[in-house]
Amino acid sequence: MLDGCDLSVGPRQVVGLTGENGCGKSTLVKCLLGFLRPSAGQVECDPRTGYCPQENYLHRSYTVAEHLDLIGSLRRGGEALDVGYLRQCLSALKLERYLTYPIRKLSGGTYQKVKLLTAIAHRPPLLVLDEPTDGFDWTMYLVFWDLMAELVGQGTSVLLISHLLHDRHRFDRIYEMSEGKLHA
Amino acid sequence: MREFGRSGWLIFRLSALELWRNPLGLLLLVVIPAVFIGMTLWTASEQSIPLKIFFGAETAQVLLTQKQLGLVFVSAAVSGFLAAYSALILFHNDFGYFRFCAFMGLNPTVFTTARFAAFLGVTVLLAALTTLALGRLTRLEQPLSVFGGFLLITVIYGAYGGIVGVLSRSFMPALLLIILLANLDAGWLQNPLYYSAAQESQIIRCLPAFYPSQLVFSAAFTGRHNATALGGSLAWGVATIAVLILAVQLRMRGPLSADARFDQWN
Repeated sequence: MLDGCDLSVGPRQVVGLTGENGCGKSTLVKCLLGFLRPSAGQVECDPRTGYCPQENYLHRSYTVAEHLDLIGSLRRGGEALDVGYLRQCLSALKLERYLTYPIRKLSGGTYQKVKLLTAIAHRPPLLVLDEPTDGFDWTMYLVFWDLMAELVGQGTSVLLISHLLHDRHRFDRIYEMSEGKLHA
Repeated sequence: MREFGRSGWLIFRLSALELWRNPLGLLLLVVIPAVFIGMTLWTASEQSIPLKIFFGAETAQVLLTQKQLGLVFVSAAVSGFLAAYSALILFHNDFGYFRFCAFMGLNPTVFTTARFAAFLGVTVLLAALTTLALGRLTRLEQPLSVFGGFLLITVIYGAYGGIVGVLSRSFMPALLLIILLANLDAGWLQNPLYYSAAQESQIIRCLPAFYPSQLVFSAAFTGRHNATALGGSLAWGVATIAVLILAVQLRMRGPLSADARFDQWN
């Protein structure tokens, strides 16, 4: 049950949302993005928002290339996918060699990288990332923050949800959720 | 026009990918009917059996061998079950992925059309192969109508499989629901031997496989046109497909699908 959750993410801000397991962080985000219908009130959301859900949702039979090709052709109301940026991300995340792999054969960390790439590929104005670094090694964790810094520099705002938020200096603001309420 | 072309290309790509990425499933669609037909050829006798065929207001009596009867009945039953199972897989597996794609901008109508294209590809293939195999093994009076009957069975049972697949959250109950109706109806009660001697045939006539099965039997064993069976089959086909489209649209359109968000934002 969520009540009185007032959360704002300003332009070029990195905002954290933390709280213990099961406190409703993901539920709040799903309501914001329209995956769940709130019992009362209205939700407005920029259609260009990039989202990396906590769940493993990727199509197991598609290859990474097929998935990226499909996602690349979908963005509505936004500009076409920047292939140069996609290549840069593929290289930074060390995903190039996995392009022809079926997604079901990826390791947990690589699967997570594909999910992250799916969210950032269109360089959205708002990024909502739910436990985006699960399964990353330390090097990849640093690459993740490099990618975030670059996107924020280009105008993206980031809302990062995690039950463990390290490197608090990287955030402009951190909200803590407990018993369905948010505290800044 | 450009948007239309883009959607068309997306539909083609999604449906082709679905079939291309499931080669074993496609192979089994050929192998399983062959096994059933082979078993019938191996076990059925040439003993003659009287059979009733439903033509609406009247009933026709024909005398067939157990082999003729078994071949056509088994083909109809296995087509219905396989179509339901294939559609269950098509509309159930990875549905969460396509909901995410809808969030990213995939139009639910494009998704539904792509699934239907893949589904129809499977059903036409199944009906054509079954008719061709039967035509080689026994005499079919009206092969084209037999094909039409098989196609209608696969469409009706495919739509049923799709509805169960879309609405069910987990696979096991969905599969059991498919087995329940497909076995009960197409695999048992529509057996012309059972139907011909049934005490209460009214219930059997209310089941989805009744009209297409009678269409297949009348086309295979008589030279008569069975308008009642054709009409009933088409009605079942249209109704089940309409329910399937409704179910897909309901599951795909969250309260804030990409389309809704885009319209709201602009």
